[in-house]
Amino acid sequence: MINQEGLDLIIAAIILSAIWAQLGTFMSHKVRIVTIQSILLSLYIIILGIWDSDIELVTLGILILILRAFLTSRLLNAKLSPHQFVSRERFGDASFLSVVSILVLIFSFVTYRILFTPLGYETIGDGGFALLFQGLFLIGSRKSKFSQFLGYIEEENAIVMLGLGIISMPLVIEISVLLDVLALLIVSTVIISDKPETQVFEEMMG
Amino acid sequence: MIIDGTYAIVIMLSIPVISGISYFFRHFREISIAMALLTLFFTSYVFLLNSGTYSYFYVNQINRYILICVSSIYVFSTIYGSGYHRKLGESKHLRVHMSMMGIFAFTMLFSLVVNNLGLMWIGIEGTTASSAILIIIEGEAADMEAAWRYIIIVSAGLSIALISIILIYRVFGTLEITSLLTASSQPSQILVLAALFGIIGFGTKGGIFPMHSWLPDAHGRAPSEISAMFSAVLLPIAVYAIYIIIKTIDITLIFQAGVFFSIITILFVALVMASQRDIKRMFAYSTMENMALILLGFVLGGVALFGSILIIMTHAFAKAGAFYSSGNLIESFRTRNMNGIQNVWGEQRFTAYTLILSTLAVSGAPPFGTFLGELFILSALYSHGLGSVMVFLAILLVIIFLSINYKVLKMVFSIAQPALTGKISVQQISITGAAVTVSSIFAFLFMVGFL
Repeated sequence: MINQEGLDLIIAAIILSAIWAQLGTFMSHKVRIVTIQSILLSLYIIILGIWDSDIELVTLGILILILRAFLTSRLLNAKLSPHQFVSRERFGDASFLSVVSILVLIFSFVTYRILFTPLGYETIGDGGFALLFQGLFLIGSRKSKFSQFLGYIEEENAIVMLGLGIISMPLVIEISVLLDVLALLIVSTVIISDKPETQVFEEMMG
Repeated sequence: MIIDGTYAIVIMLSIPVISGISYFFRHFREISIAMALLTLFFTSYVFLLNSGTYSYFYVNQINRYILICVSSIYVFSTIYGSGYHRKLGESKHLRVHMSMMGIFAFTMLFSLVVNNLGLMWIGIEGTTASSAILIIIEGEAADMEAAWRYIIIVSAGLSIALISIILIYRVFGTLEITSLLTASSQPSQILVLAALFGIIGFGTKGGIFPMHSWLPDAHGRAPSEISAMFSAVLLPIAVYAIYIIIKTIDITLIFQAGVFFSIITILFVALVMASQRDIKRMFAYSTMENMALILLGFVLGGVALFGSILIIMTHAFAKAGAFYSSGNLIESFRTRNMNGIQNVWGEQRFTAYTLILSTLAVSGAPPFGTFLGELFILSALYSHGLGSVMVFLAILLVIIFLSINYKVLKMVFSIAQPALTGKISVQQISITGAAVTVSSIFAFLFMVGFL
């Protein structure tokens, strides 16, 4: 029998990794943090699968480990130039961002309890909802395309968690979503490698 | 039927994927065009199938029309693209571009016919990955930026749509579209959430305010044949996904939310249209107007639903014609800025005709199908007791009509004579003419009772 508190601890670690990714400044570190987040998620799913004797969950966990934790980080790291490895990401006031990300976290916890109460409370669902907002915040608050894409990966991890909290989707759908995200990642790395930061063009205004 | 329906659908889906191998051949343009024509042939066959399920696929009275539009615009765009990008010769970029057009067409066709909401989501997300590459063929910094914004905004939006699908699965226990459309459920907070997430999520891809911001950038920077595919067929597919959710979750709030998002989108377009300078961004905003109208028709149902189908068909070809015409002008005048495009009537008579006709068609001038569709939607609003909304919408449509047509007529008939620097190919001229001609026949088909 597995201790539920142990599983909840993994979810807490996933949320912490999201906050850590918000505050991290070195791009290579950020990639590593999101990799850890994906590993934690796969670990959670594999343990849950073994606990429930659900082979589909175990398969999903292994696939997340391979596709999201391993392949994604490899691809992103391969596209980071030596300069980007050591340079700090330029963004606004770090203390301000940390306060806002904590506020976003509290907001997401409260919103989940209000909106999803009819489904019954699940820690993994709550964690997923919080991670979703952290991912969106990472996308919205950064100019670096790498950070924005990491925000998107966080968002996809959040969907998996939210799905587990609400209802497990059929495996074929889960696998296809994972492959879809991978395809998107490959396309994105082509675009990211050209100009790593978002730019403003006059012809794209109005 | 000579071929079983399931086989016909599988063949229809396989051909554009196989066309990807054109990359390896010297005559990649001709192979791509031939494959696109073959896809259109099998799509026409699928169009004639009875409504119902075919193994994992589903054909109904709405998706069959969008299928025909997808395949037709796929054919037009491959032919147009082979002329538009002729300067790229046999470069790797162009080979990738032509191959990816097939993959893009496949993802769109798959999204339409698959009988599973989850797989439909995957197909629509697949359109993002395949079409982002198509935006960046010219490799300019602004193209890269537009492609990036497209990927990140649309993917974030579609993630929200995935939550809607998870909630629907929780309530109904299935994602099979045919089962969802016939299932009944009690209104609940979860269904309200699913409906809202669905409209906002798929609405991001469909260009519905306020998640539309990728749309003018991607349409503006993509090559004209890709802008045409985006506007004419990709966006209606996302709106069709919203239609599936609307039909699944038949509650009052989704009706109100659908009307609200449609009207606010059209209001936004009416406010920004007059200030547009870039010709393709102007038509991109016009697409937002058309998508909002289609959504409104889907929400209202009945005669408005027919109005939506009429708009989908007319808009597909007319907007493709508008983007092809824009491409011809951009190539000739070397600018996207409408202030720099003048005296089109004197310099390019044929493009002047196609530009005027396509603009009239997309902006809802009589006797085009868009006009009839708008009439049906306005009358449905009135019959739903929303007379004041109908009047407000009519005013907004007139504002947009005047804004877009004034700008186009100014380009066409202004007297200054800037020097033309580029020449357009025969393929470009003929496809532009063909698209505009097809767009004008739907009102006629309706009047003779064919539609």
